[in-house]
Amino acid sequence: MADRFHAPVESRDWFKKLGFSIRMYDYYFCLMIGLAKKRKAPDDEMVNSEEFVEYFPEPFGSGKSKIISLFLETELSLLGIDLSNRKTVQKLLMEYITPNSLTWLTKKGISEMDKYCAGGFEILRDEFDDRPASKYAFFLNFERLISEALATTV
Amino acid sequence: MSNQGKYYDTIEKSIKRAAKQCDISEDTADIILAWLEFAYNNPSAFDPSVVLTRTSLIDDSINISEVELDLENAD
Amino acid sequence: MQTRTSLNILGWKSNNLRCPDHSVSFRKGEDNDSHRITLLQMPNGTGKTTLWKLLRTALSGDKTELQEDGIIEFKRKGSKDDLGSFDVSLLFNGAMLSIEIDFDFDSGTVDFWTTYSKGKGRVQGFHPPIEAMRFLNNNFARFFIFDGELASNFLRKDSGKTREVIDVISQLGDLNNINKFLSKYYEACIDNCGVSTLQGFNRRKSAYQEAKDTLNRRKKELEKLESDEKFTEDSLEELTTRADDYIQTQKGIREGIEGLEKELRNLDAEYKDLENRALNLITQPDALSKHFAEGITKFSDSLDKLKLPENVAREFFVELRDEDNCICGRPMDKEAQREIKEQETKLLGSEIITVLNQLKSSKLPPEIQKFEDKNQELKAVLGKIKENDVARRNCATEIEMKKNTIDDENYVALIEKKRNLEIKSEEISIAIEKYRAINDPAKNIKSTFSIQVLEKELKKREKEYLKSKEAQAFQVKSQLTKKLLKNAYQEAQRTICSQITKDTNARIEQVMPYNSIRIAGIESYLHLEGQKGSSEGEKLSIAYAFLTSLFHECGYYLPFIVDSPANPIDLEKRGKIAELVPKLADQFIAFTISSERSGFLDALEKNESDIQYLTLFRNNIPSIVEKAKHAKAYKETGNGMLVEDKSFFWDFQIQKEED
Repeated sequence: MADRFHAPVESRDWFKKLGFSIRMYDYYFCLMIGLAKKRKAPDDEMVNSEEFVEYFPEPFGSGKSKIISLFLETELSLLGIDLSNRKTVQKLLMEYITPNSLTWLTKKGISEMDKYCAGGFEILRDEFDDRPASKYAFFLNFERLISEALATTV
Repeated sequence: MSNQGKYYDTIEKSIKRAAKQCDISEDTADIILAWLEFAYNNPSAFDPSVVLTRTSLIDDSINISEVELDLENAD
Repeated sequence: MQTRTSLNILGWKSNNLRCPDHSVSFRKGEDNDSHRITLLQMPNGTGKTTLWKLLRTALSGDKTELQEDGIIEFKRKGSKDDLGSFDVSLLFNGAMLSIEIDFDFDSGTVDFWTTYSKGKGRVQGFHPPIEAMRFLNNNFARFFIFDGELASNFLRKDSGKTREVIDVISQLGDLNNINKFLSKYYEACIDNCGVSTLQGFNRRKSAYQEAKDTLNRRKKELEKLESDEKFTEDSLEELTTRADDYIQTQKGIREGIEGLEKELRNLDAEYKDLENRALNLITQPDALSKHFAEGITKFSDSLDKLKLPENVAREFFVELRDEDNCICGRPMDKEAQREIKEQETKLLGSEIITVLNQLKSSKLPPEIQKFEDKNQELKAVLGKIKENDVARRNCATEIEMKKNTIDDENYVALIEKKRNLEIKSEEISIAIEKYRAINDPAKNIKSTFSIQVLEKELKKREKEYLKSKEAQAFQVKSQLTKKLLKNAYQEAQRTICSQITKDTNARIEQVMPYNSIRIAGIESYLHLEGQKGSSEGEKLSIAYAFLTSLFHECGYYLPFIVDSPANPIDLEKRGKIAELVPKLADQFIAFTISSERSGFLDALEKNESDIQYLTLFRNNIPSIVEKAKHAKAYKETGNGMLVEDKSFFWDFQIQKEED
């Protein structure tokens, strides 16, 4: 059985008013914040996540290379792996990447990506006073959050 | 009932009568009697596997209605 | 009367056990008829207790008595042989049946072997024919192999022995067993449900009902709110239409507002377009932030620098190992193969290479688009959205202001009403949200609004309630079945005891016509009529008559094997037992000691001619051995002598055996 992505259960309600057509939008926004802040939720918090799809639906399908590359780059950095160390980089790649899944990610790979998503959702929830009610307001704040996050973590 | 024991008929009548008094169906009485018949010449009649099968059969044959359950609670 | 089932003991053999080695036969002649009465005299210390246990074991199939003592205890003292045996020959319904007990003292084990002439020959284990299993078992065997005490126990108020034997023979005992096992079954079922008390059940029932009621209430409330929402929306729509209609009648204002409304529509369309463009860009990480774009490129570059994926895949090296020569031309010897194997473990498989190459292609070639441009584009779109939002608000405000210049009372009242309705609509919307939320902050169910949370809780409570309901059902069933079986047992027992009383009294009439004592009833003991003035011997006769009547009524013609049948009885009363004994059973075997001879055995001889006299003793007293050799018939083994002779029997006198 294919491994699926997991998004925090509460994110469903949180993003509800924005009316995105698919859940992957919720996942993506949370993931980007999590990657920007290099924040992963701990294992025991992952019980609060629920599974949904086992692939990158459009419009994310065509951009999955970028998402995965960004994820791997962040993960290598967070684990303190020197990008010039061939052996360790190769080892990580073999743990996280597989051609045998629609996502190109192994079970481990998806699991770690899910943790960035969960971590990102926690930040979103803290930063916004209330659930976002309109796309435009959300986009503005979201873009600002990403910029601020990357300014401090880079 | 010549191969079942002289007193089997007496026991059979008592079980059926008692079942009626307790509002338990004749099916249940028959299952109990079947076990008794089996026990007459079978030393394995009270082996664990036999006990499990036969007690389950007896249990399955008894139906308790909602009313009876509530009446019991009212007691 | 039942169909007849008969069992006779034809004899037994004992070898290398605690009692003297011997082989005894109760046959009368060449055929399989056995003596009606056999008296087996064994002085104290001859191993009578051992023989008794062996007999009970062989006729019940139950090794417990042997195992409790320890198998080694049955070995003949001083013997170097590790094997022993005890074989009993029987005649069951005219067919030969033998039960052997084989002892292995070295391993401490004991085995049964059964040979039945109508069966499959000699088989290992205790396997008498099924019809014999009714009484060749531990429960039943002790009622035809017993000591003299048993008979008197039937008359003792507190012994309960009469109930016991009736339970066994009539299957009332089996009914009790069914009751017991059914009770245990229900206990286990109730345990499994996790709740056994009525309070527990009621608690869960209340909790379930509370959840159900709360959910229903909230659903009704939501329904009302949704209805109010619809009504409010319809009213708002109506008011808006009326307001618009009024404006249509005010030409100047209308033209001004129409222009603004057109502008607002254009701004809305522009907003939709900008929103889509923003969404399109924002879902690309490299557009979201230049740092992200740099990160993606950095990753791709590092793969290049590390030469990942390699040009050559692991499979290449695996195939190379099978070649005769390497690429460089050197021969593929063991050393070369080992080196290549080391290398290939460091390489990636070809499948992953494909994926990595795809990932590398996500890097944006610098000459096509600088990674900053996309981010700038996103920022620009978001900026335009902001401007558009301001413009839309301003436009809407202007429209409102124009509308507010209308001072017609009706129109003003209409707008006021509309405003109030809008506020109400907002309130209803917020209220409805609580019911549609996935979570609920309430600490108890009564204060919970979320339908989803309530449904989940209801499901949980329903499960618990059903489980406890199941437990209650088991309780009820347990009580019902107990009542059924208890009532059935009591009624059947009354009827059966009444029948047995009648049968026993008829038998007493038959075998002891001069005896006026009768059984008044059977409770846990035999309750006799007219007990005053009746002797112990007479009472005991009743007890024996009861037992044999019981068996005969059920069609069981079994041997009676009694240890010291008259010993507990006073000398003068032994005669009564002796008169009765020949009438009790087709075969009566009594283990006697010399002190029983007077009073019992002489009376016995008066009432029965077919008596076999056997004496078994150890051959360690030469004078007695010598005397025995003058008897009518004797068998001598390595350590014992068995003499079949009446005179010898009567003269035999050893106070205590020396081991």
